[in-house]
Amino acid sequence: MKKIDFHIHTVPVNGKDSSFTFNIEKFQHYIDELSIDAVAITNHNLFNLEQFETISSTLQNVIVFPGIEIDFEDGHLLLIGENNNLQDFDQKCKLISAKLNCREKITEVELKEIFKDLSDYLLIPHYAQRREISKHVINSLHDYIFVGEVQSPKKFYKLIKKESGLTPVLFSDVRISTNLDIEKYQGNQTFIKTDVDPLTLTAIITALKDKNKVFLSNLEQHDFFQVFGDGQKLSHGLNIVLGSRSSGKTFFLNKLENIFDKDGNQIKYIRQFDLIKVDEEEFNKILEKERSNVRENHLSCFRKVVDDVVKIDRRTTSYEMQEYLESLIKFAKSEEIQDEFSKAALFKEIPFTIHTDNSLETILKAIKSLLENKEYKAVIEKYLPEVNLRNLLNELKKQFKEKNKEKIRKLWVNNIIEVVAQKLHECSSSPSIKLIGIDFYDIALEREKIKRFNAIVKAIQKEKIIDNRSFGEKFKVQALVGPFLSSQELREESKTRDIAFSEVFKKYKHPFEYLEELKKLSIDRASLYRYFCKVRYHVLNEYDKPVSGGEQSEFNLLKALQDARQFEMLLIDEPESSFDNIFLKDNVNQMIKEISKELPVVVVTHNSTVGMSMQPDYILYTKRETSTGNDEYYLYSGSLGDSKFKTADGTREVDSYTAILDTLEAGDIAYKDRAKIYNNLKVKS
Amino acid sequence: MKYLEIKNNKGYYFNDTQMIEIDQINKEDLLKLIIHAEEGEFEMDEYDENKLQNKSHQIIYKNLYDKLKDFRNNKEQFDREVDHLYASAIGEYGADIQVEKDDEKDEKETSDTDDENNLTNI
Repeated sequence: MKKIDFHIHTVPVNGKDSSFTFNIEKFQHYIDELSIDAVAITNHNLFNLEQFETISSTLQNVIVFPGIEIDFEDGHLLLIGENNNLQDFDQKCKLISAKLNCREKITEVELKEIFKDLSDYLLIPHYAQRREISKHVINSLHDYIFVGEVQSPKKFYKLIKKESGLTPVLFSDVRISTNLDIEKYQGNQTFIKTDVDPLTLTAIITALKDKNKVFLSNLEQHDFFQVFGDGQKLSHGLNIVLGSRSSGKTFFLNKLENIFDKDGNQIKYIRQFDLIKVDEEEFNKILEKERSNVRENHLSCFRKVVDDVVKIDRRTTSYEMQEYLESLIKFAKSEEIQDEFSKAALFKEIPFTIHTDNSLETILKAIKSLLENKEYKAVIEKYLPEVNLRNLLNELKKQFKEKNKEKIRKLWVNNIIEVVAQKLHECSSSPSIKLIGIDFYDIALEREKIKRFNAIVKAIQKEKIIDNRSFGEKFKVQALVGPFLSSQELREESKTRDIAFSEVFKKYKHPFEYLEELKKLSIDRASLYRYFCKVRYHVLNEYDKPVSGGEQSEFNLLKALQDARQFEMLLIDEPESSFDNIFLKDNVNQMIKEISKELPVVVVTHNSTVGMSMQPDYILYTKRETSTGNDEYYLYSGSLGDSKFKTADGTREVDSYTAILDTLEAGDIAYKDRAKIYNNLKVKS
Repeated sequence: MKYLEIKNNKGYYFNDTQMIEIDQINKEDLLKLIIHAEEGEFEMDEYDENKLQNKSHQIIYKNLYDKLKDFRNNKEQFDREVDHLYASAIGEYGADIQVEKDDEKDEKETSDTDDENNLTNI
């Protein structure tokens, strides 16, 4: 087995890397500590021949291949070459660098132009991760691309089990800097099965073409992945960590977090006592955030109504009516002093009212849809023969055209009235009438809108359960809609302390007036719909009663476990310290077991209910031993059926039965004593 | 019900209690006329200069008559538009538009006395 890391940076590139200083000694430590057999130098969009030759000639016990990480199409591509024609590789990479000096990416055509025969190289696109290259590009290069770089053991395991698709590989993407934390990059390399020695790129390519020759540990088993440089591995399924107090269990989890959570969002880590710290208010906030989609779905229809009603400006309408009447009466009263201009009919002519009637357009669309439908053509033909539909369509089209013509004529007339009336008003000494802008149709429609809006708001404020869903075996999350009960609640909704809602809230019972008051506050208009009703969430237990403090913690655990599915790995530290055995057995164990089918899970425990009942895929046993006054920490591991657990280097071992009973049952004698007591109780009852 | 009437050479409108001379109309009364025009029976005396000799009444009456007539002519389209107005939201939330008060003024008066303490009846 050979361990390879083909994604390594040695030159910081502006805009791509944080600044770092390359250190060759650190590189040698990296190779030695992690026992790597082959590396590729893959800097962003450049190949530094001089540096490569120094690295290649200085590093011991490792084969170094030249490479480059290219901004290719819509993602990143690692291109690795054989290490026997460096001048040629350097020239080609210079062309890449030159092109990317003035552009953002290299296209497929350009890549082929520069590197000619791509089969001479190992091409590794980013795959199932950030900056991944689109499937259609990969498909187009299927003759040359058969490997994809993933970012986690979870993704690796998922893809390696698939018969088809690219072979996944996991590399470090490390920057070899003076202050490199090597420990952080353990478990980020790939193992390949090959007998070729010394390694060549051709041998590596041959191995990578066969999924049965690619692993994340040196065991030739896909079910395990290496986590530490010493060869320590974990199962892709459920791992249980046992050990007495202060034997290094939490330290072990923290170490895993350090290695596999580089960007801070790949691992779900449920720390000891974490979930019982949440107070009531915080608990409700989490629920609201979690379930905000329930509210949004419920209010989506209402939101559209508010978006329309918010445009109504009743003050302006009222002002325009007042102005219209005043000017009309004033003009009428001045009838005696009217001149030749104001006596002209167009002086006081009322423009045509023009409204858009979409009904005919809707009918036309419906007929067209009937004519174009193929699925139900026979049934439609049976009742509505095509010839009739076509005649109907033509006749209605004529009417539609006529209506449009009439509308255009009216608009034209209105335009003339407006222009002429304006000229007449300019010449006349009579008072003018404010005719334009007042429309009884619009006034009446506005009134209807307000009426309906008020009714809708009152309906959404009625208390009602709008969502009710089970959460695990025990809990139910209920969403209840109802009115806001105080201005304080409105302020909470606004999530700012800068807006005072007390005056506005006085109008709350009168929706439209309340909306007009809300409009005066500095609230984004698009979010006004949120201030009319409140959605409250309640978690109920199996008896449909609100949950107690302890049950809240249980609910939090289940929720955290459910969230974990989105992550690459799940770490749980002593769940039994916060929860009772019945809850763990009935609700948690099954869920953890299910999750472990999707991603690696590591649970630290002293508890037999958690430890053994779940039938873990792999057991790790931590032990502190004191010799000559010094504490030594050891990590043993093995599968459930193994009689001995061993350290990663195989030099030490412990009896698995003793290890498990000591940790979970306080030893063999205590375990047998308890069994007797339980048996006696059983007989008596 | 007749809302605009010509009698003794003068124009009148009905303000829900009595007939008032047309030049006395204010915006509240005009709004009431629009509300009545929107609903069921709405009659008006046709504008006729011969029957309406008062010159200033002629101008006001004709202007209001034409506008109300235009609105009545579009009533079918108006009803159709109103029927579809926020129909999906009304259906979705089970809103009862019949119970909504027509008189917005009443509502305004009551709202001024509201405060946070009497919200329990919502």
